[in-house]
Amino acid sequence: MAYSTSTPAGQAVQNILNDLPGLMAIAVVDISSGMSLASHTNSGINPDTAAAYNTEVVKQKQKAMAALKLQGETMDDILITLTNQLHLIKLVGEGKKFIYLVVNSRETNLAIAREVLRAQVDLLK
Amino acid sequence: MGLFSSLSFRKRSQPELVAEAEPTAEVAVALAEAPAPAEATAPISAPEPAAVPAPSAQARAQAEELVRRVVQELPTFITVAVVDAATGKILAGQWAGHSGGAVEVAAANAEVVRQTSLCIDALHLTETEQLADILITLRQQLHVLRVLPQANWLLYLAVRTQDTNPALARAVLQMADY
Repeated sequence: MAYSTSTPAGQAVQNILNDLPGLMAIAVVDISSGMSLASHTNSGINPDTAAAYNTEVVKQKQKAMAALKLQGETMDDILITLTNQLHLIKLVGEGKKFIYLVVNSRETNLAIAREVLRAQVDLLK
Repeated sequence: MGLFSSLSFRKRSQPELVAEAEPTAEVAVALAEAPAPAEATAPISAPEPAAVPAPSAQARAQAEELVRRVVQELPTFITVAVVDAATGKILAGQWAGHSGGAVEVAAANAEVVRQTSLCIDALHLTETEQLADILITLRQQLHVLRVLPQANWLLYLAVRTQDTNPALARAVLQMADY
């Protein structure tokens, strides 16, 4: 898990870390490969492992949406609620990438977390 | 171990999917299956994959009750369905409008939940974390997948964002399963 601020993905991770210093794990993931473009962890959670599995979650949901044949619909984000944690997957880069964020639900304001991720969307186009 | 660690997904062939997808009317469509033959009388022949027992009438009634409760709270729903997490089959559901693709959608959503559970396993979180629900925000729609661990079911809700908000949708599904 690493990031370099010379890339947009790395810059996005740095920005998110600045705004959400208490986060547990963060990654910017390329959907076609399931690999992290940039990542960081402040906990026991391996963001690169999570990136791979969550890529499958995203692809399966895209498959579900294809079966619905919805016109003009895209997936914006996926929020996974666990007992004490929130895992947020925000789709960016026209469905080619996503930002993956893990926070402790008791310590983090979800609205703020979503706003912080939203602010990175332009950077990751 | 993860919630769904004992899943075995059987990929269904196209003819099977077509046979299962029925044309729908407006309201309640509980997709019924032909009941499985009683185990005691089944002849023992060449080895077969373990048969998944058909859901009991009681299970179906419970599933339909869950659907009814959600529909009552969110009458502007697009889809409400109870899906078996292990097989991806629909136990009960209601579709506003056409239900085209319902069978594949249910299976794919069950797969979404399964992949999420695999992720939680892989991150070694299962001791302290249980999957409660998955909320998917589309442009105009909201999809919520609530896990009902006691029966290994999923409660699937699709609703328009103009008709409700994510917090309310989650609250309705939480309340449906008391």
